[in-house]
Amino acid sequence: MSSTILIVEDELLIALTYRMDLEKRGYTVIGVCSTGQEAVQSVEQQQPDVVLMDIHLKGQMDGIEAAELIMQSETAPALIFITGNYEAPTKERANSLEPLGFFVKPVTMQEIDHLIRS
Amino acid sequence: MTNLHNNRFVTLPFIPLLLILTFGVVSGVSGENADSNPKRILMLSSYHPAFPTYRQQVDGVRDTFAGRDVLLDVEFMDSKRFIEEEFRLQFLDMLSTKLSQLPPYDGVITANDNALSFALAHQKELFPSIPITFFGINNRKLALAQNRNPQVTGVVEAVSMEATLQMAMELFPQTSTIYAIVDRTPTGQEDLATFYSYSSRFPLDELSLERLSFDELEARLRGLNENSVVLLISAYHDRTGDRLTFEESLSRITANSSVPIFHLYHHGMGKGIFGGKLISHYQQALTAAAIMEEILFSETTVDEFSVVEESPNIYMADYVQMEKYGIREQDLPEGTQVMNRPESFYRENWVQIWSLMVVIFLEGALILLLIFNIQRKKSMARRLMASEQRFRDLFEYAPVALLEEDYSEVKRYLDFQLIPGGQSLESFLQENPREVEKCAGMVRILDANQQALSLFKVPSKAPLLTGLSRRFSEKTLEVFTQELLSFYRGETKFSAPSQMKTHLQDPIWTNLHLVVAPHNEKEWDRVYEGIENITRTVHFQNQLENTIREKDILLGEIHHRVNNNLALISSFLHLQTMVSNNDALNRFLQDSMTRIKAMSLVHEKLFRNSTIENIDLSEYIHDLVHEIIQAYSSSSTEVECVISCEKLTLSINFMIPLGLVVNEIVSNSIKHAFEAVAQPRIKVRIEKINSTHLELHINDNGIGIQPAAPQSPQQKSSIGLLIIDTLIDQLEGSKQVVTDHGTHYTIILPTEEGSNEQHNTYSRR
Repeated sequence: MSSTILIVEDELLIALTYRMDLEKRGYTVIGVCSTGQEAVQSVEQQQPDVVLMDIHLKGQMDGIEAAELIMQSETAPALIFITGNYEAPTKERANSLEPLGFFVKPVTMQEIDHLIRS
Repeated sequence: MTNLHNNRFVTLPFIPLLLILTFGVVSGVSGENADSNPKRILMLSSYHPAFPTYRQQVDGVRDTFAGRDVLLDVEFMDSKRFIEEEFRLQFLDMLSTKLSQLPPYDGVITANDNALSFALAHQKELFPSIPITFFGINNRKLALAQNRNPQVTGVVEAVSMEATLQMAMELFPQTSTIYAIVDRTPTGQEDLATFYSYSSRFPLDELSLERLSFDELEARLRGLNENSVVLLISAYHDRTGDRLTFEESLSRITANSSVPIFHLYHHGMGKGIFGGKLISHYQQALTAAAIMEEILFSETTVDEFSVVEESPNIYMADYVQMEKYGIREQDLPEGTQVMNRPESFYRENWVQIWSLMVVIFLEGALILLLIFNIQRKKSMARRLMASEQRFRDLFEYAPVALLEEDYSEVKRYLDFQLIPGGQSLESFLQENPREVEKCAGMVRILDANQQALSLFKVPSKAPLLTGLSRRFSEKTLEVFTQELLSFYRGETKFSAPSQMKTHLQDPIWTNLHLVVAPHNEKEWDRVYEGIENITRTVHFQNQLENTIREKDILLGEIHHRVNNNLALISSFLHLQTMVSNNDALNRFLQDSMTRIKAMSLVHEKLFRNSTIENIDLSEYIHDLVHEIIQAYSSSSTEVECVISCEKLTLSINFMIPLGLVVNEIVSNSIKHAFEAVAQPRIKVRIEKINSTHLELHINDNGIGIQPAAPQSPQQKSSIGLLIIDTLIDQLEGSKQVVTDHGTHYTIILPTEEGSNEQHNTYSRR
């Protein structure tokens, strides 16, 4: 059975390319969210295996804050952070949640696929 | 008929006071009004001026007329000493002579029985139609007979025997016998009869001079037991024919008596007599004179007054005798007049005592007031000093530099400065900077606080108090000019940034705040100046401005680099089209190049702009559409393009997705809509429909598109349409496409304000 993935990305063209690529690779993309609040709700309702989380999001909550809420759940999904802003404090905050991976844009879905499979 | 007796009696307690107050007045009035037709009254006395009753009688008359315009004459019959008819006739002759030569009398007052009898006997010849009032009349019958005489009335004199005996018994209740001393005179015998009429009520006996000599009387008096009381009725003659005056006989009686002596008449009081209810000759005279006063001054007639039957006698007691026999004042009958009462220190000096007390009280109050005032002044002085210290500290240690200055010399100089005709003070000062410098030198610094010393880096106040002008820079003089003009216009406050110099001539940036002190607006002799040191702020501001400038340059450089890189990518793609014969690939590459151009155009606008955050939408859309048309148009089909766009500035976050949407729609029209269209035309219109939304219209007159069934992104035939929908979703807009003689896109997009209302803002960038 293929892994289910939730994409959290406010650049919808980028999210679209992620989705198309991942689906070609056999994953089930259960949705695309552009804000942290949407992501938290979506994880609660659909319980994906993996959340592909952009750190820079629209709205009041950033990706790390949304991930903190998501990781409080007992059935927390695996987290993969993707960001265009590689700064040490940001990475420190993200690593405190023990994510599956941390990528700096641009990233290829081949790298994601390899990480999930490994 | 009017009875004045009671009316007069109530004034009795005030008689001494009246005497004092009116004696001089009566005398004075008589003299002063000699020409004003005074009432003439003749007092006819039965006796002579040395007779014991005379003084009281004449006082009673005079006191009655005190304050009245009255002339009082007194004639003395001296009938006590000269009782023969011969003397009476001589007196008649003498009086007749006098009356014939004097102006007529308006009234006659007679004293005692003999005078009344004489007046009545000669009334017609001596006193025709003249009212006569009498007093001291023992002959009650004769007196009451005058009720029938229209010209005569008066007051009866009768002893108060019963009341006197009652008084003696009440004061000396252990009395075993009351002895009456009496002689053979008719009056004495008459009173003795009255005395014995009360023998049933009182233990009475007599010591009669009809049977005793004065010496024997003295012996009897010495032999009286201590429970005896003596009532003196009359003692002028003894059994041997010896005659004594009243005073002589009284002296012998009192010298030999150890028991209290009562009397029926006022005379003798104070000379050893205890007291009694006495005939008061003063009161008698007062009553008769009062009737005469009514007759003369109130237009009443004699017959309106009946004879006063009840003798106006008064209880009296001698304080010396009371002390001697241990009688207290409260034991005396009510209304008893006590004579010889030793005045207490208070009674003697009450006026002085009260005056002194008032003075002491006033002085005490004054002293208290002064003490209070002194304390208050001390307290105020302390508060004033504390207040002075507080304000001194406030001034000295205020966290801002403060100067107290005197501009009065500057004001006088400007007032008397001759400014060339027609020239304003402002232009004069601006054209004559030397004058401004001169004015600056006239400003006197009166005081400076610690912060001012610190600001100007001076060790003490002295260098500052020499003036500020040497701390002025060129900029300060400009500000000083504005300051003078402001004050000269009547303004009292002035604030401006300025540059000054420290004591070491280092430049400092300051904010000056000047206030002309209230009530000094005319002379400018007190001006307060606060100097804020903003050197560090100015320094930081300069640094900040430099940093912002550097950031803008850097951002512009980044946009430039991005633009160049995008242009480089576009060039690679263009190179690829040049070497490729694959039309499909070339179309794809062409599409990609225009998309890159749409993005790079934004960065180009940004680095060329004066601001690095916002882009003019109208300019961008014009350039973008122009580029697209150039990229896709062929020589065979020239597309007419009409662009209408409101002047709006939008950020890069909004502009790139919007530019890509416009790029997709316009390039799609050029590529697919105008086959077989003679005059292809595209209209682009962007307008703001409200404060939060704008509307994008893109119309062409091409062949139009057929609406397709909903498809998933993967199934969409055109990647362009997919991009359009995705970007509109990203911008949270809506799209409507109508095909009617061409394709008509209407896209409503929230502007950034509208979008922010929904999502606030991007969280962290």
